Amino acid sequence: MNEMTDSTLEVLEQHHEQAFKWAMSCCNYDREEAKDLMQSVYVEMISKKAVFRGESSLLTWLYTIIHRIGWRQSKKHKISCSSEKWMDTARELSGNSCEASKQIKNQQQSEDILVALKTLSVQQRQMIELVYYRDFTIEEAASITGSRLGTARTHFHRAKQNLAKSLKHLKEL
Amino acid sequence: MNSNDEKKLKDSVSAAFRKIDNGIEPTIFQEDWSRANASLEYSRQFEEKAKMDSFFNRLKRNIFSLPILFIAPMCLVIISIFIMLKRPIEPDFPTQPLINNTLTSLDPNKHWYATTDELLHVDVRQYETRLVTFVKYDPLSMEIK
Repeated sequence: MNEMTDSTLEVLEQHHEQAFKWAMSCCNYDREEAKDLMQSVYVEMISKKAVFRGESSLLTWLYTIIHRIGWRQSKKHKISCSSEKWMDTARELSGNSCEASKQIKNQQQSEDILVALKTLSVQQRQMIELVYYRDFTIEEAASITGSRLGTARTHFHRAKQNLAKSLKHLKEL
Repeated sequence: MNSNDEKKLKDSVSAAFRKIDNGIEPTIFQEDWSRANASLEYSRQFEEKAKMDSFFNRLKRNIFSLPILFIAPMCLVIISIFIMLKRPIEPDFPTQPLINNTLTSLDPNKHWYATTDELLHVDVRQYETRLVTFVKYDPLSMEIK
């Protein structure tokens, strides 16, 4: 079928769900685009265009490829990266979520955070997502997004400032 | 922003992203992997076809742009084929004189009379230039009548 080792395939399978969710995030939560993106990622792996050399963790490497191909794909297909679209799909997905979040006590607070995230640029939002939610270090997040470390730090710092400013009216924070 | 505020911010943002993620229906790894394999196989075939098409298109373009480069070798090939066709056909067995020189002694402008066995020994070139007529042949007595 391919020349990838079974152990690599097992690890990929373990990370597939998270990788797909990151692909969704890279595609502005467009499911079809994300599926195409994952297919392109796997094609690159099978055809050995993307080879894991152990310079980072496999998860970081996987996220990096997804981001890189996603960026290329969005340029090629001229996918809209508008905040409005992001907000709409994120709101829809949050509504679909069957598991009630423990941290967010009510729907209004969730909506406020989405609105605050909407105000961020794509790079800032991705930095926040990678560092705060997906538990990567800033260095790893910089590597994933293909940014310089200094730029990544700036994006992250400004994202925090903007979020804090947008959410300061929330007493719960 | 102090560390406490940052922790609260992190928790809130994480919760928001988790909520979004929970709304995403996952796909099956094996299906995606097989689809990628199939897609790669298809694109390989497509690339091979595209390469062939590109080669022929380039050849066609070159023929039209520099016809002499292609006409000259084509002429050579045609001429060599003609030469090969015109070459006399030699039998692949040694020719033997006929018994009593029956055929060779006859007038070549007239009809020959011979058995098929005798004809086997005739030089193939003679078949081409002379008319050979079969007469009644008795296979039992092996006599020509």
